[in-house]
Amino acid sequence: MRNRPTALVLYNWRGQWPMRRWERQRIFAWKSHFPGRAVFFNIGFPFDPAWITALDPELVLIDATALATRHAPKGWGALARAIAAVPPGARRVAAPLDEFLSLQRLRDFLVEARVDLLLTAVEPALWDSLYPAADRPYAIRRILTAYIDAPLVRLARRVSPDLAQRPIAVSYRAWQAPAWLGEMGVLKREVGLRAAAWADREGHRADVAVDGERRLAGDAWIRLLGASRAVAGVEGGSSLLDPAGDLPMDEVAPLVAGSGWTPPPSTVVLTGSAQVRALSPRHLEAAVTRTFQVLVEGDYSGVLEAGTHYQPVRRDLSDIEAALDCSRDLTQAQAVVDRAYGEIVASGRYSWRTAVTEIARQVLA
Amino acid sequence: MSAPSRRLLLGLRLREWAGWALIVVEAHWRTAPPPLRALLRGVARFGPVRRWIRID
Repeated sequence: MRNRPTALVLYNWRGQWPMRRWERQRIFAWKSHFPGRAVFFNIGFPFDPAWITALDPELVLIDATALATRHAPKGWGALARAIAAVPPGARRVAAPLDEFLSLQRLRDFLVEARVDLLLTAVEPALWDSLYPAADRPYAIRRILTAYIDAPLVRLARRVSPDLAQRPIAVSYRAWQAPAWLGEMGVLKREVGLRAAAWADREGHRADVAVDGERRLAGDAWIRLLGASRAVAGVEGGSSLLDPAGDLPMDEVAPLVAGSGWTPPPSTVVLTGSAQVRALSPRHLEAAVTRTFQVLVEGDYSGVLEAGTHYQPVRRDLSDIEAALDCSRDLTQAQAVVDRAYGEIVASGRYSWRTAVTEIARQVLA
Repeated sequence: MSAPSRRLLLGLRLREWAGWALIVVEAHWRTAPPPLRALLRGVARFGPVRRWIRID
């Protein structure tokens, strides 16, 4: 007889080191917080499915990296083999990100893999349009794209002095946003450029890169946040929905910076509240490092409140300079970041411990 | 349900560690200068290492 449940975490990772901190946290949070034994299984390497059958787990978590193989050239077959080897009694949980990509393939997989619970960062109002209730034999639970853990809080405490002692006025990083992110991709790039222009005009020091240059991984990003008085930002997500998986996902994908790109006819252009938006991990990281957030107005998964936890900017960015100017009033800015820290970080509401414990309780009940 | 064997758990843990060692190697190879990368790719083509380590 076994007395501790076993959780099998399926993920897919090759060739990138160091990992971004929040991705490592997401995969390995189960090691620290699952009330039982957590076994990690990288499907990116060759394996014998019999190992999974012999493990006989009570719970199988399919991480976003494993599900992302649906729009990658390699790995989808490996995920199918791994899932086929899972004993029928195991509870199956899928936690995708970027659900706007290859959505139909994801929907089909969730049904074929007999997933019991779907964890999604998409707001509940959009669930029925992304996952029609008639074709949904699984439960859905909303999660955040990331949570906070104790090592992050300890690191932030070491590298984040009071705002008055920080040398950088504003920082920002964005990857080379592909054109298929639509308006959301344009905003991701534009908000950084406008923040850099503000700093340049006012004679402040900025650390901004919007084309994937000076990419920061591991603790380096946290250290940059801790050295910055303000950080610009926008919700993560996309304004294009790609049910058929027709968007170009390889290295030749057209970039937001380019022009003249037309989305394939199978894609759906989303506007307004229909856009897929969610709080990004960086917003929680900025709350932990007590960095003043100047963000494009949005819901931020219900975690951040405009005016209370961040300084809002209109979606046309017309008032971004005024919002960034607010970071110069250090007393006021310090009060905002301290309030955000108290309500979001110190409260423990958004910790990995709470999230994993609640998911495990729901699935294993 | 019976508990998984210690041998299986140990084997899976060793596979994880070996996997991460390979990932670090791959990441360094990918950032190597192009001539060195081409040389490594050529050497790897002669052995089973290509199947385990992604150089491209």
